[in-house]
Amino acid sequence: MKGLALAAMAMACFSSGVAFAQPVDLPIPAAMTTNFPPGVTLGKAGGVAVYAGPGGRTLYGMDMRTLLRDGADPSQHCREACAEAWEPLLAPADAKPNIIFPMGFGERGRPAAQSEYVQNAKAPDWTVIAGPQGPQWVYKGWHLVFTRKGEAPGSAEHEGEDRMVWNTLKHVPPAPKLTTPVDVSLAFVDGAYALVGHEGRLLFTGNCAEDCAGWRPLAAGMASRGLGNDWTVSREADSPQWLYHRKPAFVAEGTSPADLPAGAAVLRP
Amino acid sequence: MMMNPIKRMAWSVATLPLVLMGCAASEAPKTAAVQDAAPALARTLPGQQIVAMRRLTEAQYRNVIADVFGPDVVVAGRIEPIVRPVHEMIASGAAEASISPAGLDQFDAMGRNIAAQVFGEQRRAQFVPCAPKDEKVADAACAAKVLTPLGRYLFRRPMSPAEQAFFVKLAGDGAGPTGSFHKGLELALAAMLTSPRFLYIVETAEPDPAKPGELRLDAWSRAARLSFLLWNTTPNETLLKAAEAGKLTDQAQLSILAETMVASPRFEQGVRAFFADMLLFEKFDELSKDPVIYPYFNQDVVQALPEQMLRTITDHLVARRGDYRDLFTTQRTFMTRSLGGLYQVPVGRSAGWVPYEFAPGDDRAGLLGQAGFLALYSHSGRSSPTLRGRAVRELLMCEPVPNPPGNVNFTAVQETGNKAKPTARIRLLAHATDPSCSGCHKITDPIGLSLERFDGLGMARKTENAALIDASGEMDGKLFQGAIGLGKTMAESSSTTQCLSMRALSYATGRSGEDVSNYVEGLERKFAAGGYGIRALFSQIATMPEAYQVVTKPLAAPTHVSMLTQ
Amino acid sequence: MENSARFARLGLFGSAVAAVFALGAVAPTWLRAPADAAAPRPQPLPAPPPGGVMGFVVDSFVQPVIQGKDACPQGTALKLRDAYLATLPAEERAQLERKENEAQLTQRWHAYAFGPNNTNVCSQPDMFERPVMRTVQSKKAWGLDLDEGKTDDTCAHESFATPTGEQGIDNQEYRAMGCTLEWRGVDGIAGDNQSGMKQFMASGEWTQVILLRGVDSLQNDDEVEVIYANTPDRPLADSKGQFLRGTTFTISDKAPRNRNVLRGRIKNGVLTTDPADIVLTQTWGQGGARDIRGNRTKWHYAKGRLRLAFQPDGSLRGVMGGYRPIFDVIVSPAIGGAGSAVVAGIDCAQNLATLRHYADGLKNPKTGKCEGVSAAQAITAIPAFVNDVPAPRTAAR
Repeated sequence: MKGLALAAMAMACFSSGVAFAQPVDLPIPAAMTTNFPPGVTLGKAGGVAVYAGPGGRTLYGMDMRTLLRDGADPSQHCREACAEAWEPLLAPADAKPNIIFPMGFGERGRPAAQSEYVQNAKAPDWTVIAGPQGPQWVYKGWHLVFTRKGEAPGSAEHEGEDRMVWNTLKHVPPAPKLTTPVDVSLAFVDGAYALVGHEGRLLFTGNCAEDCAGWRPLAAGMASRGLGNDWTVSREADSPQWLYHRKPAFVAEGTSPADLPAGAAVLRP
Repeated sequence: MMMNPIKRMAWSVATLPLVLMGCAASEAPKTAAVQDAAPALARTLPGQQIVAMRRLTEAQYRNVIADVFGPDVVVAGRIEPIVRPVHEMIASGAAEASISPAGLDQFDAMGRNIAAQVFGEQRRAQFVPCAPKDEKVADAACAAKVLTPLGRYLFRRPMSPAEQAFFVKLAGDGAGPTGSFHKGLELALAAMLTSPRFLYIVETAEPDPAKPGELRLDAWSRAARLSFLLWNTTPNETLLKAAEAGKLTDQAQLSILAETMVASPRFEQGVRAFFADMLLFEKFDELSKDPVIYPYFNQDVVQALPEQMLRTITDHLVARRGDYRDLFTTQRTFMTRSLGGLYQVPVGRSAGWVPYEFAPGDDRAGLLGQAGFLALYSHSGRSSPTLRGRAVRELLMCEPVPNPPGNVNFTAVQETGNKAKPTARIRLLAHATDPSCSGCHKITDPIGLSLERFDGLGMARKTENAALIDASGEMDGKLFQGAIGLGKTMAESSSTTQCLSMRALSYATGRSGEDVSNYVEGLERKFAAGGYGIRALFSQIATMPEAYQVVTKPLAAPTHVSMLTQ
Repeated sequence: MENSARFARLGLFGSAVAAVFALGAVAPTWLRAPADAAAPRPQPLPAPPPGGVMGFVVDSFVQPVIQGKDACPQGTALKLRDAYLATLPAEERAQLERKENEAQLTQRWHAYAFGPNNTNVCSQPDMFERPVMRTVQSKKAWGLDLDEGKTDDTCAHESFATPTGEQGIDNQEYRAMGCTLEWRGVDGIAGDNQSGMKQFMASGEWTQVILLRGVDSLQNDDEVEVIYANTPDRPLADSKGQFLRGTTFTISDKAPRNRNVLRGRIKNGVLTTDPADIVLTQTWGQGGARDIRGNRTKWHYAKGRLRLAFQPDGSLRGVMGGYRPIFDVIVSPAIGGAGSAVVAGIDCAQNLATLRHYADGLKNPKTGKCEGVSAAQAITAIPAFVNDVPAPRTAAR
């Protein structure tokens, strides 16, 4: 993808958003930007979309939080044997680090002016830390970025290694901007964004013909004139119903496509 | 003969908008100068006779707001309850319901809150079809475009020119001091939501061409009647258009519409509202049990108990199109996880409602075997065969039971720990030896004693104080065993179906059981002919010409508007 | 003192202490012994239900502690403050213990919690050399005979006997930790460890259920399938906090929850399972945003087994035994980090040193050293309805 000037990256650092983790046993957060560091692209490994680095090799995040037992500053963990196996994704040599591993309760002796740094839990996608080999990219505030030396492109062989220290950097694209009725939002379902209602229930469309028991209309207000060009309101049925691109919207029982009745199709933006 | 009281009522109610407007204007733009009073009802409905006004119930209020503005608009707060007349439906109480000053405050606060949501930045694009010339000042033309369709939905008929002018002016007056066109709209909408035209379903009449000299409900009133009766909500676009086109005073077209409405999934909402009224579900708001005696009692259970009954009712009567009589023996119901504990049955899923079917022969069968009924008609620490029997008689068979005299000694029935009188049957026997009590207990207790294998929370039990419970019962000379026996006996009694017919007619018209009693026999015949299906009953009621005739019974003293006459 | 006040203002105090079992936050738990499998049943056991499927929800899951002065004759293990004082010459110790020197003492024992490069005894306990702490001296402990006398993959250790006379009991976790105040409590009232466990169980964070299949008799049955699993469903409780019987739970095997399939048999009314890895959810979760261990900790019992006695009232009562990785034992205060040390006075490094000293299982074939301790949990479970994961998924296993 596009190269990225560090200045622009620094600007992005202060956007908000809660960063979770990249490990597969925790929720995968969506990317907040389509601008990646130089040399970073998108690929596929382990059956899912991942970031790739030099030579198309899969990017891994070293989850700094899992290494606290080994030292108060896990950003300095990867030296010697680790550094022989893992190659850091280095930022430009003159990049000024804008993130650190945060101090814990009662800790002393670390840089006092933490306010100069991005809060890890609210970090944008890409920040720079002072790694053992120089300025190094960090993904989502916690994941020091590496590639595995000698690994073939598309491989995810080291996924979850060392008790989940190493995790491929999975990519979920940013949600598209969309005007929606209140209570309707977007969720990443089966590799693409889908429209969901209250409590993440999938919205779907289709024609139920006779057996309409599981087809609960996405209720609108009679007085509503719709929203932009995407959303209109049908007042023809017994209760006012939202139409998305003129297709009637219904609410599924659950959050998975498996919860949809027969003949239904997930509504996607 | 009827004109005077009606006129008096119309005049009295006409003052209400003024009172209400004052309240509505009291908050948001406090400096708004409302110079003109709201147009009185008599002027807003020219040429029409107001023949009844029924206050919206809380459920109706919530349904209307959801239908008009969308279910995402939050209705915060509670509404002053409508007082139920003794042995009658809340629906008939609604025709007599006033609004207290405190109740008006509640409506006012809710109205302002709703208006703020509707015209807040998040939603206004949906409800404002025009761009004001300047968002900081009034724009009468744009305000009229916004408020006119809202008035039609909220008042269930088009606004009169006077009303429209009033609310547009109100919006303008609000926009000035607040410096916001949208704040002005908020004020106008809040005023609409506290208008009697919204809070009351105002029924108006016109001369009945088939019966010279008499009146019948006009088309707009019919639309509201159909909609609130069958769907418990405001008329939708189809009904409003039908009213506009005069279809609702045409018997054939009225029937077609009613049939369509009872066939709709929305009919379930109407059935729920009817049974919640008939079975006194407002009592669940006050249900409390001793948590030491009943460890399975908690707030989840309290909320689930009436819902379980309503789901059972609507599943049987609406989804399965069942015979009303079989509601007392059906083995199908629905469970939640917390109810599963109370019933001691497995629940297939941890979240939400799960269908459940009791085994053949299980004494849980039927509506009367459900914990909601059993718990509601018990005391906080013990079951009550008398309360249960009385509820069966009064609610389901329409046979009122007198209250006990004031000087009764209840000690014998209250001593649940008395090992010498270990079961309720034995205790009641001792209690009912008093001749002043025995007369009434004879008509209630033999029914309720058949449900004694369920404790005061409705949990199954076999013994009380280590003594085996005898669940034999008797009703009108018929002997039976347990809840299932009672259910079969209920199903066989003509009182059961006649009572439902009467309640439904009373519910539809807002008249008392006595006032509608002349029509019950005919309705019951049609109910029977329709296989005692709920759709048949309600479509009959929705289309019977008598239901739309204006009753010429003089009104009693106008207590329902007393607060307004000052 | 100034630091403490600042930490309290920053709200760090709460999270650090919470990680150490929400100290003092719940009502006292009176200690109760697990069922002894060898004890005679006072009443006959009922017949199993038709179909032989029985469900239970675990309502108590605690490390069993035997009270009595003989267990820790010198008193409970030293807290960090006293452990620090113990390192000093007697004269200096006496000086510091004077009331007027309290501030200085506090400053010094707090400093004792920290090491070079900003390390502390709880976040990085491996980086501190600390002496072994006071351990259980009595010969009595609850638990199971895990090694059955074999020594090939264990390390030298002394066995306990149960109070009812069962020999060969392996419970080095109790030996190492059983004299800490957190475990032992005071005057017969359970320590924070046990009350914290009770609270976590009630909160639904790691609800455990047991599903038995193929039960032909509660007295004797050669083959029973035992599903020991987690569920996201919070137990329903009465107004006193007692779990209600006969409620429904649905098993989940999706992270972070687990589903263990065990083979067992019933003999004389006691269900025993074959050794297997048993993994259960252990969500401490209060270590603050920077510590992911709270999201991923587990109860991991290698060679774990259940021994549960059917009770006449329909409940199960007994013990789970197995070998736990050493660090798992102290993961809660480790998550609390420096706060566990300076607020709760826990010396995680000393805990770790003691656990290492007494480690008797999970022998590393490369080093020959044991990296786990034998351990036991006292378990009670009451009847419940348990839905297993959907059949197609279990079949695919």
